[in-house]
Amino acid sequence: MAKQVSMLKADDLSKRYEDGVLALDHLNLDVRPGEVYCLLGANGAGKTTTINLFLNFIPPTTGTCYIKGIDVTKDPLEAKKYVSFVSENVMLYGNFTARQNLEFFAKLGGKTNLAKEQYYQVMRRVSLQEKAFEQRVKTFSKGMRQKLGISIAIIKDAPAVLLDEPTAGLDPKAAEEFLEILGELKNEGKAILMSTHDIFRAKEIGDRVGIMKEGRLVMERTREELQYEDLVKIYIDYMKSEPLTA
Amino acid sequence: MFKDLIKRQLIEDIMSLKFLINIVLILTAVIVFSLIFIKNYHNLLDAYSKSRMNNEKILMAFSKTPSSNLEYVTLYCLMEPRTERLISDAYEEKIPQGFLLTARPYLIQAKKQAEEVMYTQISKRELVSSAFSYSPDLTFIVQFLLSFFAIVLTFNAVSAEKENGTLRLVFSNSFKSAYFVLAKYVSAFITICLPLLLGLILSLILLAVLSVTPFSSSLVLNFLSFLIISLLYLSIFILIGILCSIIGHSSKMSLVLSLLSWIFLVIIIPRSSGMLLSLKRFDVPAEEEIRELAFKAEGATIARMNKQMAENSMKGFDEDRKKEMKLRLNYERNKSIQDIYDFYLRKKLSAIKTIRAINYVSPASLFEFSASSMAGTGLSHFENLWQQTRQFGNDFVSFLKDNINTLKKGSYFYPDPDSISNKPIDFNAIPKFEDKQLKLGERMRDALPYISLLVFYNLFIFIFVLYRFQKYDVR
Amino acid sequence: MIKAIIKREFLDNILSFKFIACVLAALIVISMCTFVLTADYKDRLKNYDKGVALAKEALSGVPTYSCLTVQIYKKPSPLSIFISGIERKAGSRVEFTNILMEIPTFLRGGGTKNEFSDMVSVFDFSAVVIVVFTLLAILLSYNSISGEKEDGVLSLILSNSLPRYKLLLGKYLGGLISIAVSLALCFLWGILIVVFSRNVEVSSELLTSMVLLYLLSLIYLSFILLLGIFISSRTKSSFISLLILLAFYLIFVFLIPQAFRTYTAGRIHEQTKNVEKNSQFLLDERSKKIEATLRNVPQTKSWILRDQFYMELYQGKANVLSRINPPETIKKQKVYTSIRTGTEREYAEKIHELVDKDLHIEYRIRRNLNNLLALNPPSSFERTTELAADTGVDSLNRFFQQINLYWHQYMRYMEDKGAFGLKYFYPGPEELTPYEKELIKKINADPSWQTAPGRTILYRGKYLKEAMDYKPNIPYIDLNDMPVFKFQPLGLSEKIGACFIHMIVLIFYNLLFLILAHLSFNSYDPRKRE
Repeated sequence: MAKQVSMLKADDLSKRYEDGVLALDHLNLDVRPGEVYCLLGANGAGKTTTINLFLNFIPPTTGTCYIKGIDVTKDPLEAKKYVSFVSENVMLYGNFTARQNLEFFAKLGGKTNLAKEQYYQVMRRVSLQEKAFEQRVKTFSKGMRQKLGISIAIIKDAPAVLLDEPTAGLDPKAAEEFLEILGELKNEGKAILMSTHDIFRAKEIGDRVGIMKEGRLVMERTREELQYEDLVKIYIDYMKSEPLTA
Repeated sequence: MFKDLIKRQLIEDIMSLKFLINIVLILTAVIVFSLIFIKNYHNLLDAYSKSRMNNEKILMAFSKTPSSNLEYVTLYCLMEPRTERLISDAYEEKIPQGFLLTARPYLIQAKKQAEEVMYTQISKRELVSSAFSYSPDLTFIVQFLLSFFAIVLTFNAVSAEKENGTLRLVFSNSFKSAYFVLAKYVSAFITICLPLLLGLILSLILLAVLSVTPFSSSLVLNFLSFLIISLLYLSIFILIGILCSIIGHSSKMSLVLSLLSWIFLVIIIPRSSGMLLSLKRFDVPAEEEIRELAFKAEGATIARMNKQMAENSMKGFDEDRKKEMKLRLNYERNKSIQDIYDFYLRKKLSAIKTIRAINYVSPASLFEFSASSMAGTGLSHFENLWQQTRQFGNDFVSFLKDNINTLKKGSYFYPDPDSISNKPIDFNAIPKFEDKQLKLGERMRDALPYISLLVFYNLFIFIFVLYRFQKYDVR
Repeated sequence: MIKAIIKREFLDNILSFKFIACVLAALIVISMCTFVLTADYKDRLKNYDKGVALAKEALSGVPTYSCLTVQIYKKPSPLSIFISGIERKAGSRVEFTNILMEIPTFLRGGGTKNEFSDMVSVFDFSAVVIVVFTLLAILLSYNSISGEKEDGVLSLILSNSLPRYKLLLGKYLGGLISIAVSLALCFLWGILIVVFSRNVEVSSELLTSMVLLYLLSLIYLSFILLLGIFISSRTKSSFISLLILLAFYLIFVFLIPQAFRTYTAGRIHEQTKNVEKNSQFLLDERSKKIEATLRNVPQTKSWILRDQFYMELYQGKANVLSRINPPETIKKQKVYTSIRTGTEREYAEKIHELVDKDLHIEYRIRRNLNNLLALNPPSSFERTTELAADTGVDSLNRFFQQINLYWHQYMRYMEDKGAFGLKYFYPGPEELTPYEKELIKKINADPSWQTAPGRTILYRGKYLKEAMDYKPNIPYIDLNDMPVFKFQPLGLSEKIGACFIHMIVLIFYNLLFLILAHLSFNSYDPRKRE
């Protein structure tokens, strides 16, 4: 059984923007080590907002985010040591090579003094082609960039991993490879929070799946429960139903 | 971590096309300007030595028969053309070039050019009309080209990273947000040091190799102080670029903001002060009118003195006393003329300085003023020259009084054929005029107000940048 | 379909931040400088009116021709509000006298009063167009092709049945209309400021010149647009095209023109040495010749009285004898006068020849510079603003050419009137009144002056007071038929003629880059980089 201590915890989290939009409505969420939690939902449902709150990119209106028990707003610098982030469709530093990008972010993440071979190893692990290691990132395809993105997360070796729509726009093979790596990370004991549109993959990889609608977590199911339910049907039902807030 | 941010930005900037274009542009401009300057400089130096030789000729004739030659003593005390003008020309050619000192009457007058030939006004009628007249000096290169480069370097420092998503990625790591901005500043600063240093060293080498004057330590010191002021100035534009990058919602907006700020600060504001020249309070009379005013003042003084002398009857005065009264009269007459000239010269100088005060808002003007004060060129050169000319005049008169005075000891002295002997004197003993440059310390003191403002602007914008970035949305 | 593109481009531009920011900036600067320059113009106009009135007054009440000073004022042009040229610096009036003849070649008074004024300059309307609007045109066009490629929109547009050249044309026209509208706004704003300040007459000449200026600006800015579109169609990244265009902006708007100007000024300085070298020599020669000729005039014993009142009134800048003077003195003065004035006239012309030589050298060097710079579009445009406003060096040169002709005309008039004879120094009619004859006889008989050696001396004898107190009513010289100077400014057709070559150059550049852009865009890859 997974440890009881949460690595990522959202406690009664709410966010109302300046223009009045309630993006998150009392969200309660926790992700334990060795667990993959998939957040599903339509655009604007609050998935990205949740991730931004965990990263302290925006302050919460009420509630708290904890990474490894550390309050993200009170001690962001300490909290960020324990989380890696894979962003959606990030261009990275186009004029630098894959290895240079990796090296830079590794150093930012606190991993100084790594050998070139170690960078290569990580990039191999994500199935990035050898010849791309010293190629400029601006020549990369989307899939290659995503792979590089996750290698950045891997090399930081933080106990929590946040991913924002990581498989969006990837072809099925690339997406499959990506999820394999996620599986490896989960087995290493990392707590993984992933927001996605991809119902199918969510069902495959997620230990728990949560559906967000208009800022609220309306449904949560574990893998066992989903064996007997059609996630797709549930999802679509929820999307079709009446709006929750007036 | 901080070092990594700087290193990455530095590599990116130095490998970029903009850096290449900039280096080529700067070095080309430096070479072209230096060559033009050196060529001009030789001509200027020739003209200057000619006037000095002329002065010596006059003094030589004077030394043979002082009394008869006193009225031919007309010396031109001109601004010496210096190599510092390559650093900052400060329109030295466009202002009066020096002073004419005549012994009889004893007067010091500002003169527009080296020789007052009638009609020369026409030949000098270049009258460049454009709002964009710049002198081709190093100040221009820094003020204009390098500041533009600073803007181009930093205008999308933050907004580009936001747009391509790396900002989020960077901030998912653990370090203070201020370091990010600081890293941008430091790397831009280092990047801009390179063309600046290269350019300065190159022009120094060209000067040393091709120039007439020797390569001295004071020249190097001047270049060094110019380097420091340039860095202060360029730092402001780096900060402005970063600020626009933070304020603008997108790279495009940041670009427009920074370009417009550059245009306002470097081109429009520095070129607008002339508008104030037509204001009533800066109005001065024309040269002819000043001359008339001077003679009117002279007339009034003569009338006053005559009245005084008539009141104290001159009967019973001996020859010496009569001579002394005559000298006193001449002294008072010329003093009243001199006072008028001095008054209006001071008024003209202060008018220009006050007018230029509206430029303090622009760092480009502050830079220009501080560079010219530090180099001792332009207006500060002229003012220093004025002081030295007055001092020289006093020295000359004292020399006459102490050495060839024919009057009784303790009596009143004023240069006049009657008051000095006609016996030849040693030419080498006569004080000669030399335009000495102010010491570095004094020049720094002149430049201090401008430099302090530059420092203040730096601090102010820097704090503002940090403050704004705290509230910046990195998503 | 092309209309749709033009409309979209136009709206896109008008609503964009860069457009609004630039136009706002332009309007602010135009407001400031037009306001101040209008006030300055009004001031100069007031001084002009005052000066003209004073000059006219000075023509009445002139006792002898030697007292005559002709002052001619150059009327400030209202166009100097928009293109300041050299009017503010160059001075406002010209004068010539009969006592010390010279053909005027420079203006007195005016901005030259403060010798340090060259250190400060003015940013005027034309400068705004060159600096701000060029930048605006660059900002509007640098990403016209590469930007759409980056946004992925280009492939979308080209998936329609629209020939590429129409797209190009649409973009160009959209940009041109945006610029035309904003430029018109700025021009109108400037003119309104002038109209609403009182006492400035807005003549048709001003308006037509402004229209000419507007059209020229538009042709120039159209070139910048086409340049931007061309560069944009050569690069894959908007940023690179922007860099290239900004480099162009720096180099061709600021650096190159200035470098050429400085170089030219240096060369003019070096080569126009005729006056500097030879004028002093001529002046000395003149004095010597006068002295020599005067010495040859036989000296007879005689006395002379000057008219104290007029000598003081004209501060010694005239030669007015008292009516009480013996005929020998009068005869001698006639001889002196004819020698002196003849020689002065001769040398005035000789010196003017020197000046002319220098002016020709300067003109040649300047013309070469302008021809070379014509190849640089921003300089070509700047030159046309000078020509269209007629407030630059050319206007000044033309003024002095006309002054020269007038001077000769004036001299002929003086000759016809016998100005260099008796009437030069002797006030009133030649006929003496009986009282005058009597007094002269008395003084002639007075032995006090007869002891002087054989030359003319200033009379100081016992009849001095009586002669001084004698103040008859002297009829002044009638100058109503003197030719009046009228400066012929350039007419509109002449201005257009002068600008013609530059217009052709700019239009040529327009066509060149239109064709280049067309060719370049035809082979442009619209696919967005993944």
